[in-house]
Amino acid sequence: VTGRARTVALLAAGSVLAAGAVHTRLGFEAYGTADLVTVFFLNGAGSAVVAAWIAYDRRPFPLLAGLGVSLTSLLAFALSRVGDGVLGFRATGLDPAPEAAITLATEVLATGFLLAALAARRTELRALLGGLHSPLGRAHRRRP
Amino acid sequence: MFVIRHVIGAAAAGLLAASVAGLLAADDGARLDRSGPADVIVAGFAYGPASLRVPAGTAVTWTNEDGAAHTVDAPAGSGPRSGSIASGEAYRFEFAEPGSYEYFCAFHPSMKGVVEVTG
Repeated sequence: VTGRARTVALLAAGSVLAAGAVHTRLGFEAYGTADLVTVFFLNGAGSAVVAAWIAYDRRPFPLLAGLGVSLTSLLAFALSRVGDGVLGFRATGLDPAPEAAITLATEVLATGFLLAALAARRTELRALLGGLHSPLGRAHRRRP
Repeated sequence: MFVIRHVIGAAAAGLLAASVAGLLAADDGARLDRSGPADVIVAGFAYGPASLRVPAGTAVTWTNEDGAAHTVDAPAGSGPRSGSIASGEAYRFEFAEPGSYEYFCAFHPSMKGVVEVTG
C-alpha cells in the first residue's frame, strides 16, 4: 500500500467518522421519529467501528464496509426527502441546517475517498473478489 | 500517519461510546418522554420537551428558536392551531379541558409532541 493510498484511506476514515458524529448529534437532539433516532445512534456506532477499522486495517475489507455505510446513508437521505419518507420521517431540502448539508458533504466526500482508496488497491481487490478467475484476471496473469 | 491513525481511533472510540449511550437512553424512553414546565422550546427541529403534563387551565408557550418557521397544530378538535411561527416568535395556547393533545409541525411532519392535561 503506497503512502498516497494510505492517506486517501485515512481521509475516508475521517469523513465516515464526521458523518457518524453528525448523526449521533441529531440523535441526541431527538430529531425525527423514535425509530429514526435509534437508527441515527446505530449509524454513529457503525461509523465509529468502520472508521477505526479503516485506520488500523490496511486490507480492502474495511473500505468496502465504509462504502456500504456511506451509500446506505446517502440512500436514506434521499428517501427521507421523497414520498412518505423513511421510518415515518420526512424532511425537506437541506433541513435541518446545517446538519443536513454537513452530513451530505461528508458522506459524498467519504464515498469519493473510499472509491479512490479502493481504486488504488484494485489489483488486491480483484484477487479478493475472485477476479483472477475472470477473463480479465487470466489475461493479467499471462503477463510476464 | 501513525499519529493520524491513533487520532482517528481515539475519536472513533469517543463516538462509539456516545452512540451507545444514546441508544441506551432512547431505549429507556427517558430522553424522548419528558415532563416539565409549561414552556416548550422549538429547536433543532424538535419540540423540547416533546411530552408535557400540565393541569387544566394552563397556558403553554412554544418559542421557536430554530432558523426555520414551524407550527403547533393538533390534527383535529380543540387543540392548538398556531399557523406559522417565525424564527424568534412564540405561540401561546390555554388548555381548558383535560385530555391528551397530540400536535405536530405542518411544515415538518416528523416533529411531534403531546400535552397531557390533567383535571
